[in-house]
Amino acid sequence: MRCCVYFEDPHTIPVIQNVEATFALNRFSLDGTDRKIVQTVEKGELVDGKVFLDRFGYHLPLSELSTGSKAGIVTHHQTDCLVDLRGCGINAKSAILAFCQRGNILMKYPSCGVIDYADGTKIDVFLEDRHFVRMGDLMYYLSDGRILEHCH
Amino acid sequence: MIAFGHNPRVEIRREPGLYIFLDYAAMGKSYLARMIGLACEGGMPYVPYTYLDYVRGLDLTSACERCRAELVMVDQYDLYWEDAALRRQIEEIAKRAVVLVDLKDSDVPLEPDDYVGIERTENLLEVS
Repeated sequence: MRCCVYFEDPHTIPVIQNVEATFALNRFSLDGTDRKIVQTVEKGELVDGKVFLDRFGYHLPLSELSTGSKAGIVTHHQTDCLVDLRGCGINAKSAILAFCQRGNILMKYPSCGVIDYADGTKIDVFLEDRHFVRMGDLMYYLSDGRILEHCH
Repeated sequence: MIAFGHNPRVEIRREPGLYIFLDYAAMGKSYLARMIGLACEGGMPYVPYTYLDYVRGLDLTSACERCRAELVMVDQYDLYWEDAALRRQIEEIAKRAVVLVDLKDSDVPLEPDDYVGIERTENLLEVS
């Protein structure tokens, strides 16, 4: 399994455009990946399958998670779909690239780069026929590497 | 400045115009939209506009005229920015109200007066 990144819709699998709706209509069995996503994006903690602790220490229902966290959780669990990250901030996109080792995401080419949340741990990202296991390599490809290759 | 609510108190430190939130998740934008919605239900001249409102065909201009809106928040605009008529409405409303737009895609042809962020503490949510 790997996290496949697309900059254009390949039209091969169904696309989830509204992650809020998908999240509300499904109950996912949350695991360590979801925990890391919530820790990174929300600066909070998953308590159980219904509640999380926000950055101020309040217990809130999972419906109150940010769209970015929901997109990460949907990506990790709805692996037969392509999750459109249009409404997600760069921190959420970066967290998904760092922690999701399965799933499919559709995003615009991040011209401003991404944030390294992997902290040296292995990633598993497949993008434009390339397999990335180190965040540094992916970040280089997204900044200079891809442009240089497209120039040649 | 527009201010409402207690614990948290919400402060919008901007004059009428069009403002886009900085590209960051979990700032509290959707939470702010819900706070604005509650204030709207309480009779305040504020209008929250969500993707669901768009899908349901709610006319933003009519909603704003009905309450003479001073504050409008357009949430998840990335999902429906291609509607040119709505874009014109947003630009028109921004001439007389503070319009806050949740938009991540910087290539969308919407010219803001400025970009804004949210500062949150336990008791205050400040847009500046």
